[in-house]
Amino acid sequence: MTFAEALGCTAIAFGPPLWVFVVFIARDPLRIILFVLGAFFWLVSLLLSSILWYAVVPLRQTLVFGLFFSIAFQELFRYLYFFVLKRAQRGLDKLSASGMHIAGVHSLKNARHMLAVVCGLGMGTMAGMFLLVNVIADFSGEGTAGFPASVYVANVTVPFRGHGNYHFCLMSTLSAGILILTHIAWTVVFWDGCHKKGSAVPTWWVGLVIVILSHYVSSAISFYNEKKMYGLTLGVQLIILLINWMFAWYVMGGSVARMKAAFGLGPAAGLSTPRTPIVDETDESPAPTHQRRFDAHHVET
Amino acid sequence: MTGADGEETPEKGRADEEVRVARPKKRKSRPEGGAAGNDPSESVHPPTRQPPRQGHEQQAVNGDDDDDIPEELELKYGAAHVIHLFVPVSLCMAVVIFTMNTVGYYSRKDGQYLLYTPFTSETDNAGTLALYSIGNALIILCVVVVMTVLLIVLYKFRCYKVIHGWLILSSLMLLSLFTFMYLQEVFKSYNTPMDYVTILLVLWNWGAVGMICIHWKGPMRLQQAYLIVMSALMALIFIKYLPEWTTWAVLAVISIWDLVAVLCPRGPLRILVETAQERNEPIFPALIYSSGMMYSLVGMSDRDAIGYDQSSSTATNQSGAQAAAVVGGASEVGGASTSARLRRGRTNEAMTEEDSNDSAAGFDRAFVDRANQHTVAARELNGSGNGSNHSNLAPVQGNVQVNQQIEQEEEERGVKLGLGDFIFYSVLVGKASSYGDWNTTIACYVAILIGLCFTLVLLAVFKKALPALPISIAFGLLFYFTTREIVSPFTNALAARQLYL
Repeated sequence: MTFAEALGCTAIAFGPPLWVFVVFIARDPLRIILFVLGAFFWLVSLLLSSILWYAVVPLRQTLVFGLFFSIAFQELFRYLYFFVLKRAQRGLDKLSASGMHIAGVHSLKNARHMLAVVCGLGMGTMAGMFLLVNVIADFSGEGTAGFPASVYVANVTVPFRGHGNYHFCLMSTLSAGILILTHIAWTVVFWDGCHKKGSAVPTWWVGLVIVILSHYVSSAISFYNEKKMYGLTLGVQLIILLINWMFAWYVMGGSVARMKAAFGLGPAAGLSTPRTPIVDETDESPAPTHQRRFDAHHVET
Repeated sequence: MTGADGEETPEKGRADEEVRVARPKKRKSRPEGGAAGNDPSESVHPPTRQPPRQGHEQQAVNGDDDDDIPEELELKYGAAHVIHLFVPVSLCMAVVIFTMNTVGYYSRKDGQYLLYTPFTSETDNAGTLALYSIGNALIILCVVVVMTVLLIVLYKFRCYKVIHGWLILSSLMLLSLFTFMYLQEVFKSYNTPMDYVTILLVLWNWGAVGMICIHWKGPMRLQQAYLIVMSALMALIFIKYLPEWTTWAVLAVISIWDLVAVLCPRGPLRILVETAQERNEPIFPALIYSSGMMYSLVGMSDRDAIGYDQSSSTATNQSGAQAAAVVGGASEVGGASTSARLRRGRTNEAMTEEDSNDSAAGFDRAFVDRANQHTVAARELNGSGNGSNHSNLAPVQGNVQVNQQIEQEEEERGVKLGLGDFIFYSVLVGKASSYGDWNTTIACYVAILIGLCFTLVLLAVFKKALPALPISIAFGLLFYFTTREIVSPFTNALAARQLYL
């Protein structure tokens, strides 16, 4: 339980998101902003759920209550974020005459899955951080033998289940890492559902149901962590992660052929597959003259 | 630490003046600035002051799609500029947070406080504490107001020598004395023995280079780095020498003052900014961080094609440019810019139908933009991102002459953020991190960044100098207190049971 473990746990939990960040987000200023905005939206949702948890004093010990509403708030804010972006896009659409090419709007329109990835990563990263960072910080001290037997939290003494539990940090880390990655898929699927509702696709609700249900299930299963049934909880969370990734992949228009084409890119195959079309769309959209110049140029390079 | 109390006055004064933001300052001191200034993004970006004119030029250059490019660039460059401030603000905060968490000195209470905070006696009475904090904060505010007014008066009457002396003295102090204190504490906390000779040698070099970079000339990146470090040091001093609750009161009071000083018709900072704009001068480089662009990867050619004559030496180092000597490209982040410039170079050759200078200028920013957008894709497609970055240098060099004037303009652009904003953001985050709760720190960090985003959005809307503190600090304070009292207990309870949020 030293610095090395803290470092390792950080790498496990935040390594994959960092990779996604570096590859898909870091290059584009607008994406960075949307990423931070996603984090902020998640933060506000957490703030509201915490206020609710704090305000309802008798249920403060019953974390199920807080957790239930926290997830509800999170999904609500996921929708709000979508709504805000949609509104922003409409506003910009109004500004722009026909054939106009605004980079940001464009990515809202044609790269909506990428947008969802960016925003979902923001939300997930924040969620993972809030769950994990303090745990890692507590474990990173030299010779920390473990947590105290109980902690005093908001006028309530919470028995510390981590006491004497040598896998505590690692299991929290794995769980948080899964959470972050699942948030990406959740946002993709959820926003796709919202989008389909907007375009009156009859099956739009499927995505929303899957997201909300799987969010609740993965949260509910985590109550078994107290009984140290890590295999069960992590297994279920991993399965949920995979289901959501598969669904997100399907939603993004994934196919076996594409999977094969993208083979070797690891779990992000679902992500990276549609990237090429997105970029192409950006290029070949009806563009003003200067745009065409870029295109010619782009081809040339 | 020794004698820190007595020495506070000069750099205290300096901190006051720094409480400002003057981003939309756009210097137009170069004679041919207008002629070469058909960089489309200029037409929309807040730092510019002549939107219509630039817009027309753009129109002339790009014919039919005149409206499109500014819009696109507004969004894109708005975003790019936000990031150009995100990075330094984050770096400054990171230095402060790291120091707070590793060097015990700055979070330890020594019972030593600033001269301006007389009400320091320990008490648990909430009412007294509140009264004390507000009293302290108001005293500090008075000092800030007096110093700011003094600066304005000096500036109004063109006592540049005095102001420069003042600024040089204070930055010298930060770069020597406070750096020395900082190093001392760092070595102490890591239990590293160090001899005075080495320290003096390091300090001399550090300080001398810093003074040259900030007040005279030097690479802009270096200047920016020095400004960030100075802000971080100043923030650490504030955290260390302000009593616990006074810090929070000061943050609140200062951000309100910032609002007043920048937005009121007779607000001192507004007067300062307007006077500077009237005189076509930059605000003193030691007070403002400029994300301003420049900097050359190719650089250092002795070409003097631009041949403008800078009347004021500060103007030169404000942009950090010495543009005649250093021909800079877009200082977009790293490799993206390089590859962008490569492509730009080729494009210029390809586009023979237009006047090369103008078309290049009109094209340039948009092009960087596009290139940025595609960099990832390009890398993914051919996996040659790194290689191309390096191989870019030669073609760019060949293209230098064509793009010289554009780059002249580029280096002038950029969003400006007062060092005071850096300092108080860092104070907030650093103070938040001093309680050992990372959730609070992260929440404050994100809140401040979002506040900065909002401010910049407003900047794009109003296109005039805006205070950067109020929104960010309000968000920061809100999230600090709520996270500390409400959110963190909740998440810690969840984390303790390993529940999945």
